[in-house]
Amino acid sequence: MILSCDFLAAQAYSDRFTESLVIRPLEDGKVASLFTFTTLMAHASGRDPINDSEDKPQHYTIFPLSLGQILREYAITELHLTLNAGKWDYLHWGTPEDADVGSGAEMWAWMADGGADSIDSRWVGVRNAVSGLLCASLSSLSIQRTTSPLLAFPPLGDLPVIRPTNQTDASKQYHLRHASLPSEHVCTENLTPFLKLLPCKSSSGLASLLNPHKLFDADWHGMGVHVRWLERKGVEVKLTFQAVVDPVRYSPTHSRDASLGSMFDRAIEKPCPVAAESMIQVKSPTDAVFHLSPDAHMENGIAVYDLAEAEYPLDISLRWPAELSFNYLFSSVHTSAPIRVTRVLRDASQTHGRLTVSIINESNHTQYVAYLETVPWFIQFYLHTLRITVDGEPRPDLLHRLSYTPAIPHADPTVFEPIFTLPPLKALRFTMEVEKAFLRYTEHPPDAQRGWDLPPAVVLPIQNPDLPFPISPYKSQRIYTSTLLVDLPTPDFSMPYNVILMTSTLVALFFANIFNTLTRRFVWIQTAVA
Amino acid sequence: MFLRRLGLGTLIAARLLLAYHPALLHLQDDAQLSSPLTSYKRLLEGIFLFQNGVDPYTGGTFRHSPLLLALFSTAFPLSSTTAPIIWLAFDLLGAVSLAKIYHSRTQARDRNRNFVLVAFYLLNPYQLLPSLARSTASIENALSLLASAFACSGKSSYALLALAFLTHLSMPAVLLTLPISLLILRGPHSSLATPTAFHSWSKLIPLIAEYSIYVGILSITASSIAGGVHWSYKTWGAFLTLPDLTPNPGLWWYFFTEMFDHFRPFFLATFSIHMAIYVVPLSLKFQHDPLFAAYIILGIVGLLKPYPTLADAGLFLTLLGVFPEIYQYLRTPIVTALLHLHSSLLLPLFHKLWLSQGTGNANFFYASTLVFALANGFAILDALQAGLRVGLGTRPDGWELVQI
Amino acid sequence: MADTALPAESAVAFQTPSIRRLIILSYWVAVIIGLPIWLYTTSIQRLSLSESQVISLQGQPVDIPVNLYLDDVDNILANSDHFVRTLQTSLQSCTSSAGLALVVSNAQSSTSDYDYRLVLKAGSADCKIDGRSLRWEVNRANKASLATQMTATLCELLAPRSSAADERRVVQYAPKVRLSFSLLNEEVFMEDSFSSWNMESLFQGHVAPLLERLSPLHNFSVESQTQVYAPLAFDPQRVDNGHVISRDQLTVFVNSAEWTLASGVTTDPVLHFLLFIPSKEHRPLQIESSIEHDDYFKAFLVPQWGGVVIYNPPALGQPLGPLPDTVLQDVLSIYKNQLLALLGVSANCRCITDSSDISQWQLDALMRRRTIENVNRSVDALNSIVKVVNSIQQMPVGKDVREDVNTALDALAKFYPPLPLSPSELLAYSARALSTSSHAFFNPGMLALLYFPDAHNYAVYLPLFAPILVPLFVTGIKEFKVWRKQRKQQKLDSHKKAE
Repeated sequence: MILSCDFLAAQAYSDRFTESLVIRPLEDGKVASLFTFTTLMAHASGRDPINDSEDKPQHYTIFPLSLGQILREYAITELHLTLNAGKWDYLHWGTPEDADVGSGAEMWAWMADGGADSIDSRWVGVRNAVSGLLCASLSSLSIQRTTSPLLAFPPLGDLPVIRPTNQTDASKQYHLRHASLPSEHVCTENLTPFLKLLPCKSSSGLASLLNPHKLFDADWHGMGVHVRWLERKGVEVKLTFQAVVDPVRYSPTHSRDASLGSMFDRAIEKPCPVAAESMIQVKSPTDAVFHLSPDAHMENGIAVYDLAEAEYPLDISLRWPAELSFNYLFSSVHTSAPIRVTRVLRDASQTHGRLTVSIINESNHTQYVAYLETVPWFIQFYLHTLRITVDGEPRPDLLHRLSYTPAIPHADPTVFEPIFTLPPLKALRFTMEVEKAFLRYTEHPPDAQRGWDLPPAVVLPIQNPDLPFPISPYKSQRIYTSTLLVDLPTPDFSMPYNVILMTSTLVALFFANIFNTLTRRFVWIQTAVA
Repeated sequence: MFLRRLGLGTLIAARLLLAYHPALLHLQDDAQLSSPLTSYKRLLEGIFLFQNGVDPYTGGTFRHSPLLLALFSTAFPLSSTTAPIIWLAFDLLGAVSLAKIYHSRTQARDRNRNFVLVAFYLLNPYQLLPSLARSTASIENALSLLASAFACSGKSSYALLALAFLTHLSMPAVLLTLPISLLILRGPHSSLATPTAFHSWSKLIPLIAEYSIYVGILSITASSIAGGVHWSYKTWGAFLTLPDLTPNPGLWWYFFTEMFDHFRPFFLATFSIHMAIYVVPLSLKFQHDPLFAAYIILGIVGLLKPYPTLADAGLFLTLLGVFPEIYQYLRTPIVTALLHLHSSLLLPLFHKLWLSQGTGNANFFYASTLVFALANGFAILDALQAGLRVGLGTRPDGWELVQI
Repeated sequence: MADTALPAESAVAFQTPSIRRLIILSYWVAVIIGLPIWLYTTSIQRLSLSESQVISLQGQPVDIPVNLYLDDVDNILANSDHFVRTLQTSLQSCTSSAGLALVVSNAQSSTSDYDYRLVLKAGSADCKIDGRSLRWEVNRANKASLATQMTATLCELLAPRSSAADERRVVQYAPKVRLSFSLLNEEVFMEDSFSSWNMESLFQGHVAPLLERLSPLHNFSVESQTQVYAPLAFDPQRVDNGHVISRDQLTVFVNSAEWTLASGVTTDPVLHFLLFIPSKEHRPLQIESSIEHDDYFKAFLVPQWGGVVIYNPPALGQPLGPLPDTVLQDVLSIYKNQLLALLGVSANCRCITDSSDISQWQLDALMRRRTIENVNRSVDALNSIVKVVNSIQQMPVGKDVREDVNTALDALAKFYPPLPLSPSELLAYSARALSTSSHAFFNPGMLALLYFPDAHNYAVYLPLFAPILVPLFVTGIKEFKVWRKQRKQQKLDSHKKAE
């Protein structure tokens, strides 16, 4: 089946939908796949919160209406949401195709200031609306999780200049809000509404491979919604789904041969007719003899399948014919992640701990990174205990710059954002003492004994640490640490009335005794005749 | 003479040795020795933030007065070398003031007694441990003794200035204004046995006004240091709103951990008013001996304040040495001592069981704070009754004193 | 008394009655200072609502003034005053039941823009509407039934009756209405399927003028989308030539689970207009009741929800692309009629010649009807608020609730008695009354504390305050009694001395 040229011409002036799937066999025998569905709404732009009303007609073709409504209502210029399950293993899996792999839910938005509604009320609104759209529980804990980091979440698109004022610098008009909820669980109820945002839903094209039963059994999976504005192009929404599946686990012979059928339990039956471009790319590994079927068109060592020209049903299989069974021998030589981060909480009692982070520079040149830690208020940092070491030697000079916003009890989280210099092939280690706060009994969640998940820390490699900002100019790929589970001291939840009773009684006893002593008179009484 | 000097020297040396001992550094983390408002670590954090251009009063970690911030970031930079000396200096100041108070009260030139008082102040574990933990409660104690000592020797301005400083460090000290002013007017001599009424109450007004001016000036200074008045919400506000619920030996933290949100503001107000309610009655009752009124009020504030530490109880117990005339009338010294012994064992044990070992729960520690409060309550009540009892003298057998 | 026998004790300075009284007094001062704090921190904020005003509105009918002026240009009527009176009485029944206070009078020179004119002219029994005036051409020979004819027409124009079925169809009034147009392909094919439609430009020419005309009534916002996989939730019944949707299936035609139609961002009512293009297997898809009409379009209304058009495209083998503009034009004109029906615009009367437009009379009649509905609904809402607040003593009533209620009452005051305002102004006031009263009714702050029973209050207060207050009271009362007795004694003594 060949798409006619008329159709492409007709699409050119309005929306354009493209989809792609990148399959990459990993070092440890697993297979990473990234689905990207991109819809471009040509020559559109986000609502200007000052000059545009919400009532202007909105006409969408393949751009999802439900998402468009939200963007318009809250005048969102750029919106990102990721929902991930599991911990991305940078050591064995290398750098992910789509960088935002932090566990749990993460959401951030760039919004222009001005207009009737404040940034924060729009942020609350958009959180609630997106939660409803994807059946996620992002709306809980809103202010306790919301931050505005300076560096780690730069706008990925362009920011329209919204009013011709003296300050032509668009950066001053835009604000970032970021929140993450590491304990969010991602499951089928999030995937179903996610698929409905696609023009072909899960009926045809690449999206038909997204089979919840198989995917939620994967070693790692995550979905993302990324909306941005590109000057001269329009509003782009990119929906991504990323998964790491383990064919070795499914194979009775422990072979790492995989196919669309074995990974997703499906083959592609038909293409999505409204897709202007639909591609599957297989990044072939270099370490062993590797066979692909059906034959693909090769580009720079990447096998490319164009769904417009493919034969259906399409099932691509990856085979290592020389291998009978797969044995994984880890060699760090092959890891492609240039920077790795680990974060632990040491010496942790229920009141204190020592945050220990090591950032390893795997490359042989000096790198700069912006580190970001956003923790809820109940973890209090002792910044004066910050110690930076390399190979056990104190190296305070490696801290290039530091921005820090202390937490406000019962409200705002801490934002700790240093820039470090990483010497080549060394591990920078920094430690800091933290204290855990005591919560009111109503502030604990129902499963208080389980503990609290701290959001993953984020590391952003940067080229030049001295660039001026308010809006971060760095657009490199973020690296996420795993989440941390901390247990906070808990009160006895059955006690309120007992405590009120006992403390009150003691206080009242004291009061009454003092009162009596002060108001009564001493009198001598003769008890016996002398 | 020589022996006393030697003893004092040994004492100071031993204190310094302990203060420099690295094994005792972990005392800084102990919530019983330093509350969030007096913690050394938080003080360091505040100074660090202040010196690095971050406003320490935006967050919730630092709740010390801006005066301390200015003092320790300029005049006396804190480090592991200087801090023990500074804290020892404050303790010595407190000890000397204590001896001075005793001296003014009794007019006795009893050097041995002075030495015993100084030694007791420096060695009392309730004072020693907070000082080793470098809790600013030690500074507060020294200041309240200094204020009393100045008041005893009639140096009214110095006394009121010291009190204003103390108020900046710890807001409940404002309750001492009345008895200290009274003390300035009436003098320190022990009149428990010979009570006489006080008639010139109006003379209090200029003293209280002077105190208010000092507090005002210090507040302006603090605001110029902190760059705004927001410090007062974090420091003084913490006494009224209890934002930090870190366990301490006091009565507030668990009560307000468990309190329903709807009643929280009301009970916060109730507890604050309750603390203040004793000041006027005690000052009236002991108008013949305001130092004793100040003593009892110090004890009550130490018992009922929102963020007490062991140092508050320590100060009350140490000051008992100034009032030897009441000893013979104490009715329950054994009970009080036993309760103190009991709670001083239970408090650290249950704190550790709950928060370090994870084998106990919050109720363990809460129960031991109740025992501690009971011990302090008994001590205060006993001292109060004994103080009144002194005035009634003794009668031969066959007469019994009752309260009606 | 024991102490009088032993003067030594009361001679002790701190045992004097005056100190004792001062101490008790100082305790009481602290308690009295504490009282307002108690009230301030624990009281549930219950601001008083203008209750009597709200209750007085209940059951009061609203009469909107309508003025009709008779202008006998050609002096057809012998006694125009008599005719005016006849018309007034004969129109009474239909207008008053619609909540109108109609006044018919002879032409005046100064009338406001929103008064109606009835222009009588000689001519060939015909009528024509022009703005708010009705030109009535009378055949001089046939004057007898003039009043009856006129009454029927005017009733239809001023207070159109609607059937119960029509009523059910009409969407509840809201100042803002969202119109959502969706192109739904049951399945997509490479030919004779439509991946898009030229809604943006055609809408401007076809529907926008109508919305502009209706703008005094509602504030419309418009959105459109296309979907290429929109399956039905049921299988249509197979018949000889194609498939048929039965009457029962019509009710489940809209497959909300699969078609993403719902809007998550607003609470404004949404009217959906769907263009459904059946899959090839189902074509032609018919509706049971209208099989015989062999047409490309099948349309039906979903009451209070929207309209659906089913389009069976002819098999022309056209490649996948946009819907032809001619088709969309036809669809849009169906939508226009569906929209009017959903909004409750009355049917055309015989005097209206331009059927594509809505006359001012129709618009006014609808606005008046909506106004009365809104006034009644907001009066009901206000009464419910007052009732609920009165019946639940622990329900907080905050500033915002009171402000909302007062705004609603201010807006309602325009109707008691009704001010001579234009229909659109009246509608605007009624809409404000409605939105503020329902905003007050659904205020989330009014739910707080409903779950905290009185018994728990005692459990919180008693342990501390019972043991504190009992000695305070007992000692206070005892001391007060002693003090009074002493004063009496003193008086007696001084009397005795005087004697």
